[in-house]
Amino acid sequence: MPMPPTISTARVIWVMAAKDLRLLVRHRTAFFFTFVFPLLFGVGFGLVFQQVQGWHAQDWIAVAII
Amino acid sequence: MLELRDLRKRFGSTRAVDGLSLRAGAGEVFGLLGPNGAGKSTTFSMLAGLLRPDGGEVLIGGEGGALPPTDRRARARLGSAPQRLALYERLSGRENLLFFGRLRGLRGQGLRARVDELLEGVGLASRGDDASGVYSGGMARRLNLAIALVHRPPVVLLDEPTAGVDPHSRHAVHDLVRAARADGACVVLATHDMHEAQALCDRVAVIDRGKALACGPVHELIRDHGGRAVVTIERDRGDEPIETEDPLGVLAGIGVGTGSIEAGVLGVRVERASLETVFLNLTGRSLRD
Repeated sequence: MPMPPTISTARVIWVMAAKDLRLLVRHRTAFFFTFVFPLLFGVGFGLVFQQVQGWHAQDWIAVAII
Repeated sequence: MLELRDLRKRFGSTRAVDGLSLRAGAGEVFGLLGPNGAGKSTTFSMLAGLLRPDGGEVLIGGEGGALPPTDRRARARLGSAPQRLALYERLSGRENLLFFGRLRGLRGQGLRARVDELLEGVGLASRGDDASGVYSGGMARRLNLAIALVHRPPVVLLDEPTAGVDPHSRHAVHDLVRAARADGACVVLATHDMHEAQALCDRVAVIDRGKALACGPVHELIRDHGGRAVVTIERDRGDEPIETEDPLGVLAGIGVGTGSIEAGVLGVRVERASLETVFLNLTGRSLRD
């Protein structure tokens, strides 16, 4: 019999991650609390506190990409 | 193709596997029989490289020589269907097969063709896109086996592959095992089902308390450990069981086949030794935990 192929660790990680993402999308509650809820939470608190402590909508936050 | 040499494993003071040495070849179905707690599942875990032996070694043969199951090349040679189903219930049968196929290094059109072939082979072609969580026990068991075979492994480990399934699914599983053997795979099968072992296995090892009590072709085990046949003569005054190594002689003695059967004989039953008799003779009849 021909020997089956082997697989690199990087490919295993990629295949596992793709499967886990697919499972997460299928699990609506988990998907909501992982992706939607943090966004709603952030937007809600942002709206509530945007005028507090002298912050203004036009203020910029410096972001460094390293 | 697969060899165990003086394999040992202890859990505390319990010797789960105690010096087990076995060898199974290509194109062979090798049965591992034993009562509960005999050490079958521990042996399987060591065969699959999931458990490190305390002593001895497991070698998986193939191109590049024999390797322990912890080696990446040896793991690629193994396909395993555990007793507890290893499926993702939110994925369909097809997606499960695609996932495990990709994990085994398959991809593209070749993988998709293999998945279609397996879904057809296990009778799930029409349900392949349904979530495996809604499958019946038999369907899930068949999918579990298909996953073990997805990369055409030279060594297949099956731990009670027909536990809790109906006769139709059992026959489908048996056909898949025979097909794998015909392709040249070495199939190691742990089962409690003596009829299954007798129907499928080329050779069988009966193990108990971590040791191999007997090993060989089924007909040799029955000849050497099955004991004598029992001829039960049903007479008008009651049944008369006779243990004998010559059942035909007993039948001739009461006139069966001569046209003048002994007076008072209503019927005759002949029970020959089977693999179950061998199993009970070797392991005893006491209940196990």
